[in-house]
Amino acid sequence: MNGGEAVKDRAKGPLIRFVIVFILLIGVFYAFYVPISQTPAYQSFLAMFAQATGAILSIMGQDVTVIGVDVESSLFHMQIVPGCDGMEAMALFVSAVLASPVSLRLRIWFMLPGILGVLLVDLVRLVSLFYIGTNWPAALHVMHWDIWPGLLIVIVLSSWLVWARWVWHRQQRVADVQT
Amino acid sequence: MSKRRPVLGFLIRFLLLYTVLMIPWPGVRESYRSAFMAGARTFATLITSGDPVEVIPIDKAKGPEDTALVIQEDHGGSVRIGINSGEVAYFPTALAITLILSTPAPWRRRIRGLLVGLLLINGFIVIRLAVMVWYTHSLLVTQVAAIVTPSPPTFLSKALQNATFAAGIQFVGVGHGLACIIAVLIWTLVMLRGLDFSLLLSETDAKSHQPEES
Repeated sequence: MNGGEAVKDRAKGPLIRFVIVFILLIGVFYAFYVPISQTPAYQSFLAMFAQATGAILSIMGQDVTVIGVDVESSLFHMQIVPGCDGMEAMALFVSAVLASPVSLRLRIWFMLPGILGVLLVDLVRLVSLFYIGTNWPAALHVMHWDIWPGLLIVIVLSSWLVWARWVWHRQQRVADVQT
Repeated sequence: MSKRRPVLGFLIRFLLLYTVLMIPWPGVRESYRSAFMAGARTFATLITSGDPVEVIPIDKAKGPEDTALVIQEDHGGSVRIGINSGEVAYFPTALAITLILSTPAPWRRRIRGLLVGLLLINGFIVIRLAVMVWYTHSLLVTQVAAIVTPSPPTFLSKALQNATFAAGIQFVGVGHGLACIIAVLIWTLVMLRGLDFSLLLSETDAKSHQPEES
């Protein structure tokens, strides 16, 4: 084995560990999320999303009523169900960050604002879907099922990549100082 | 720009390509649905141990579903489940293609990644279909059993039924969340190389590795 191959082999370790930890974390998430999302208690959690969506829509001048998980106006009715809560996008983000081979402190520092960011993007998604449902109902299905899921994922993934590159530049600076 | 700001380049390429793939070009989704139905028919028959499975088109004007899986049982019962081939299969495929082709890597690597990625994402679609057919089939068995020995559902059996439905249909079957996660996982497997990942994140040997490709 030459030097280049040895470096390549050594470099595979973090990626393999990342993939394994990522899969495990996603598995743990679904093991809890699937049964919990079917309980009445989870409806209260979803109702909070409905309340937050309703509050933002009200601030934006929409006349909406929120009853439980339903957000409705005279023109459009929307129901928040498991899957609309952004939990899977959050799980993707948290799992990717936690599985990354960097110090726990760096992971936690990034994870907390990241979770809030995902929640915020999901609220933007819900508000935008309400607007689209009200003003452009023909586009609702495409926006809900085709556009927003891809958008949410690329936002999560880009955030992780930006963080990863920031971590790398940070390591470089540390290494420069040491040498 | 893409060399200096690879994430921004990745994001822009993703948005452009994803938009192109998601635009309902005439004939594309219809052709995809035909291929999807042919594949679904083959796999559905294989996993239902001989019970006849029909995969039939549905008029999209009546709702979002465009394909129906109908499983018939020997006793004469049947269960029908409507699915949208776009949501179940086209979406994860388009997402995986977009992620792979948007990655700032040499074209040769992207094409190789695309071939392996398509194979893997279709494996996931087969699993999705298998779960849906299995669930539909088990629903039929439950219905037949309920007719033969009627008994009111207990709290536990109802909870189990709900969880099974959620796991089988809501999340694995048609849910976009898991499809997105699988697409990202496939992208990681086919596009990120150990050395790139090590350069990107690893806290050790950051200076000793040299970038293999831009």
